[in-house]
Amino acid sequence: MSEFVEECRREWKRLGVPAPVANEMAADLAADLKEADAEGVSPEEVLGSSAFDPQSFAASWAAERGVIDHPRSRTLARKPLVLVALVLVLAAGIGVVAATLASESGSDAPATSPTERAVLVTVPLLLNLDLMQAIAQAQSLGFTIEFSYRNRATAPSETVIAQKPAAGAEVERGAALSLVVAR
Amino acid sequence: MQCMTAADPRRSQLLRGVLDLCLLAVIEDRPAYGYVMTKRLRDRGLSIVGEGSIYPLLGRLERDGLVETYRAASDGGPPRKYYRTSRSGRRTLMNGVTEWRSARDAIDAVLGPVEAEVSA
Repeated sequence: MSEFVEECRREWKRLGVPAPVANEMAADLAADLKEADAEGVSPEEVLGSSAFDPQSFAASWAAERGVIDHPRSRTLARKPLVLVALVLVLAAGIGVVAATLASESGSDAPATSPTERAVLVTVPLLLNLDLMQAIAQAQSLGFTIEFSYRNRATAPSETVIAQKPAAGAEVERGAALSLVVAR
Repeated sequence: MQCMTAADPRRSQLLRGVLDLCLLAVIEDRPAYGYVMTKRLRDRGLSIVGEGSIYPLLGRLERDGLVETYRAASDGGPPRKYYRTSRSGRRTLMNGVTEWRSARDAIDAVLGPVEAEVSA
């Protein structure tokens, strides 16, 4: 099973699929196969006839998603090699000059880089929203969402009945919000 | 509900015309990630054994703007890519179902009189 995912990774690499995209596809695929296996479901039931041909599967999935590195842009990348070499030589030259100047002028205090502040975002109120609405709102603010279901006869199905952190909290952008959703 | 499981070129051709609608239909009411969609299809009587997988088709639906995706974790598991229908996806589904029913009825009318035995 993991061999299948590895074969797919190799194919995506060969095709020039960007690494973050390939990693995401591999993770989702592995999770699906793992869940199926845990339920006693064969890879064939998840992948159909593709279960026997990871290369074609990986290639066709990447092609349909439109994430294959276009051959044209790959050859363009090779052309500026000479340009890159020139820049490197130039940079090395500048480096030598700068080092010479620095040793002659004596030591100055090193420039301090501006301290980086984390971007803080206020957690929105998501209680009683429909799960889809809650996710849309949270994502538009840059949050990631985790959710779990609970039985709650007193709440409409698919509505948010609890959230953590609470609304109003200041958290770093991109933080995870946990939601509990009525089943 | 009849379960289609035999791999067969005609079946593949027939499915090719409607599998996108089937995927849109199983996520219409409630978004899902890949494996859950496979299960919902199976529960409704459609097995993809012998056919291609649904993943490339999901990629195409996303690219065509018929589904929207987001990443979320459920019940403490890892984050998964969820698919839900977009507005144009719902329109496509409605129109597609109407076309399917009309074509199906017309074909049934033509094939109706034929007495077919299920061959082993």
